[in-house]
Amino acid sequence: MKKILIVEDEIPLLKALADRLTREGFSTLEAKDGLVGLNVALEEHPDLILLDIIMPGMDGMEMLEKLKVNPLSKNIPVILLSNLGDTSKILEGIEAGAESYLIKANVKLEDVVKIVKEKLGVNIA
Amino acid sequence: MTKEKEIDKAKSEFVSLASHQLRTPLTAINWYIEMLQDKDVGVLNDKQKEYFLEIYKGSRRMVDLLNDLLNVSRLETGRLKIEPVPTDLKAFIQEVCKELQPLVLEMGCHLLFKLPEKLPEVNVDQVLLRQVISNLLTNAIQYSSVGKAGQVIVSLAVSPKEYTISVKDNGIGIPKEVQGRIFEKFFRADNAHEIMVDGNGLGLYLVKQIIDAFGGSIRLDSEVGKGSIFYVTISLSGMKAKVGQKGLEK
Ligand SMILES: Nc1ncnc2c1ncn2[C@@H]1O[C@H](COP(=O)(O)OP(=O)(O)O)[C@@H](O)[C@H]1O
Ligand SMILES: [Mg+2]
Repeated sequence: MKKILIVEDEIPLLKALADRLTREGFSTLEAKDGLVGLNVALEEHPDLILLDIIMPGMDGMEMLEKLKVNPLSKNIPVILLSNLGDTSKILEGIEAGAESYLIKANVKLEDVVKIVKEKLGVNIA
Repeated sequence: MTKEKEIDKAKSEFVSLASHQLRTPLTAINWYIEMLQDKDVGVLNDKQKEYFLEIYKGSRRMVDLLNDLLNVSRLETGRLKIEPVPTDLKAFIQEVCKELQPLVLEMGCHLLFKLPEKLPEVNVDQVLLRQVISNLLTNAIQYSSVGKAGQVIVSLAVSPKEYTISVKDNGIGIPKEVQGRIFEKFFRADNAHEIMVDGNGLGLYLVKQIIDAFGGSIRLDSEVGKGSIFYVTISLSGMKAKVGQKGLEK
């Protein structure tokens, strides 16, 4: 079973993502900030990380940078999920090594599931 | 910086912040509405489905409004960046039309093309031109397909110096007295209100701002009850890169 780490400080969004992905047959790990997220990533080696940007304490961009410099985690694909829509922010995320960048308010959960499956190479219905 | 510009900048930053703040609870609303319709958590009855559809439509409208407000605030503070890239215009127009396929199907509209066979590549800012075409098309589809199957024709004509994209519909038309006002922020004509098409009056304002930034022009021909045609003309050499920081919301 593929393991997905969700790092998101907004609890309703965290719960929605976990709920939907669990029903799709993934196992999910949850973290409410970047520091916890980073530790979970290093201990549990998830197959993919969904990462929010604005969070208290360590934010998503910082966590992404830390993931990418660590040989243990640098190959885990990261999808940034944020409500910041500036092109400059998106480019920054992609340059920092994210696989893609989704604007939460503009995507459905269905789109998130689709892109997760695509990145993990699992059967896309 | 002048006092006035400072105020403008502060205003726009406030709009931008407020829009971002509003997006989070809206995302929660949208995602949970979506999950309520997942069959594996249980099936809603028809009445409940009908209610949820209305909630969903309302909240989608709010998302659109926030995106438009963010774009307006970026355009108004001149922070816009223009990044032209060589583009196959014909393929590009078809791609934008394809993205609107769900609306075309929902409204039961006929969408036709009159595009030339072979074209040289043209330098355009794809994010901005997409916004222009998609706003004009959305209007043409929405304002032509209430109570009947509307017809919308998208054409492209290229001359040595410039190209013109036109969007024609056989819809409700725009009264002569207000044709000069439809590019104003939040303006909507009474006949648009009457047929109950959702809107916020920001679409054409955005279109005009973008075309101005391109150094292009837009004009229209319209008659109430017959239909409308919008022409956008942009110079082939005119779209110059402009340094800025921010792009638009889709
Ligand atoms: N194709 C069209 N047919 C009829 N009326 C139109 C059309 N396009 C624009 N309009 C008029 O111009 C107004 C402004 O358009 P727009 O800025 O896109 O706002 P919105 O569509 O959200 O109302 C509309 O409310 C409508 O009155
Ligand atoms: Mg409109």
